[in-house]
Amino acid sequence: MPEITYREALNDALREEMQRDASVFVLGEDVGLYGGAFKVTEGLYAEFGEKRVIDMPIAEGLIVGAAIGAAMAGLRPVAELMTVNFALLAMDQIVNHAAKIRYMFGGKTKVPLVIRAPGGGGNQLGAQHSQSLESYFLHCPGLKVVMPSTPEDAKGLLKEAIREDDPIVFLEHEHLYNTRGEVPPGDYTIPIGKAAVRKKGTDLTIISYSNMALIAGEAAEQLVKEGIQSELIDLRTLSPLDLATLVASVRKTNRAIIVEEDWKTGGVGAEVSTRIYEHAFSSLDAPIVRVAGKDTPMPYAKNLEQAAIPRVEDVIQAAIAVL
Amino acid sequence: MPEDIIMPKLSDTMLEGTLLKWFKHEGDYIQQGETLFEVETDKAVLEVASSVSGMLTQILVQAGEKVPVGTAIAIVGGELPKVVPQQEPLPEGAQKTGQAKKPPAQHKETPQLKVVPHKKEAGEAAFAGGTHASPAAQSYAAERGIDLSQIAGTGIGGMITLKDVRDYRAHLPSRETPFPAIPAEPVPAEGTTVLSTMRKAIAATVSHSKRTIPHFYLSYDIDMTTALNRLVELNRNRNDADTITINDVIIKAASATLKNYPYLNALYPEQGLVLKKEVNMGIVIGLPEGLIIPVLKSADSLTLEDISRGVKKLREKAEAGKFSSDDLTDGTFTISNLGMLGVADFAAIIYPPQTAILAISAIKDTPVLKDGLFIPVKMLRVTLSMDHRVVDGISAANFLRDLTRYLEKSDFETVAKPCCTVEDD
Repeated sequence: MPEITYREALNDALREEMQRDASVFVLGEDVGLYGGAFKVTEGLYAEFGEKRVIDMPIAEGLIVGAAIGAAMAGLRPVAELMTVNFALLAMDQIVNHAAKIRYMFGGKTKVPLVIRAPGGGGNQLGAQHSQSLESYFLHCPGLKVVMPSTPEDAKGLLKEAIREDDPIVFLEHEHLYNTRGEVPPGDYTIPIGKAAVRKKGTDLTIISYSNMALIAGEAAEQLVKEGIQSELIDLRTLSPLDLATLVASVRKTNRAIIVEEDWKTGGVGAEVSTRIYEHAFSSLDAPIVRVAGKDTPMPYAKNLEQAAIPRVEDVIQAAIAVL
Repeated sequence: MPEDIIMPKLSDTMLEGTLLKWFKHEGDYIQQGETLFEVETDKAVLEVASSVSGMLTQILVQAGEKVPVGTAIAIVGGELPKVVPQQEPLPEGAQKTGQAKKPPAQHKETPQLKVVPHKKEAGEAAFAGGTHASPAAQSYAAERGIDLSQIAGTGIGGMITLKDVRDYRAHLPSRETPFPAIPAEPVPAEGTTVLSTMRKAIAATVSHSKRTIPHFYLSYDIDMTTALNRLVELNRNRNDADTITINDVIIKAASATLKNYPYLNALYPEQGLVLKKEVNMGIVIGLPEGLIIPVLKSADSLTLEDISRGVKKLREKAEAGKFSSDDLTDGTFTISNLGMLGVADFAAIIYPPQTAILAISAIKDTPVLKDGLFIPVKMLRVTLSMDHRVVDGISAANFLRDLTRYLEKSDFETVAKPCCTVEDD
């Protein structure tokens, strides 16, 4: 299988879907001539032209609002927000419109919309540009939240998201764009709502997603050297959550830790751990531990920023603590 | 066309039965298969279904009467017998009006709400006692009746973990309790006492067996370490109701092995030897009032899970004292397990007309010398009792050898694990 970057995988997904379905189009800031702030849409403008690759003004509410209208009218827009931090400007469109229209119109209209946005910290971009806001979207019924960690998943899930009839918040991590991985040739999709078990194990379950799935994977490898066999689950989709896979794993291992970059308070781990408590309480042999981003606006200083984001050694320590 | 309902033969040793109860009255219509009456045999209380459909026209044997097997006890079909109305003297001063007397109002039993005493949930007891144990440790302990207060915790903050409970359990003298311990019988007062029907039947059967069958015995020691480990694996995700016991495993192994030893899976009544293809496994269950041997049908074609479920069902019926007429007949081989009571070694008496019975003693931690080293082994002593008229030592030894191989390998067919049920929310 060919090995490509996460960025190329997303680009392939967009191109293939635009070739397959004329109703698919891309809109966002600098997605056309410039090829996207993170170069995900590179080459699409040349291939599909300005009607299907639309450069938008710096107005996130407008980008998402226009995309919602197009989706209601029968198109399949893929809106790119330069980073998830700017999604806050579009929250009314996302939460009050995209997520609710299908419900409030009694199913008579649907919103087949994908909102793509990179996020995450670690690049010294300061408190306003380094956030992981997935739990904001996770909290809102009517949205599906997808956060792939590998090129293969990125391509398969983006293609699936474009084909879905409901609004999808598709969150990428800036650190992942240059990571490489094998991608199956040709057209394939990966179902939304299905976690991946990256590694089988019996001692504890390590649950993570997006960039933290890579950190968790490194920790799992080091734990093997200590004789600890962890089961590694990459959620891939945060909403709907693949509870069956989580519960089956915890029933086997009796222990779980969750690795997430977002803030610990009210974060993804809070939701995931509670679901496990609700459905597998009698299988737990230790409290679930969350390895999460520190509850602080992201510090600019490099050493402080690194201390605020979970590291491999934090995961290892948490794993040992629950064993 | 009126048909007789007769006292059925509900067990191999049943000669007579006491009619305990009719579920229908004369004049009621009965469907074939509908429960008609209840009988106490020498072994159990059984409900019997009607073999025919029609009106129950006459009850010949009243509740409480004991009659030999084959006696007609009721008639279905034909006409109701003419009843001569009993002349009741009219109360003084009453006027004869010619109106039909209103029958006394039927005293209908109104179903009452049952008050179920609050049952402690798994782990609740432990909380009450202030023991600090993980949910997994608590449910594991509760399912197996382990007292958490005896265990020192090694988890976070001294919490008792699953491993702590498993380790503790591994060091208990007897790990498996296929059947709950039989409560000690009350000590009877001195003097002559009348044997119960059941006791009499047991006495007759064992005396007949020992008098007429030339028993001989072979014992084998089987290393159950692998089997017990497999069992822990199999039970990891099972709750109490689904737990597979070591007894189930032995039944599975014996049933599978017997397929190759038809002389041990045979009947030898006076008329001559009958070899059986199918293994109908008799399982000795001890009750306070005596022994009972329900039969797990076609055990050789059942999976380990099916066996476990079947045995549990038979055991429940035994405790309730209610077997279907089918449950006690047609056994071809029997297993008697006293391992849970710590019995070191015993030989069982053959249950005629069968030709063999397997006695299971306790599993013991035993050091075994292997390659110059002592290794700990979970050793099980089994003893096969055989009818020497039918079986010789060599084939019986081969049977035990194969049984040992099967158990020591413990490569049961893959048992489907219960799938996690997750509510869709």
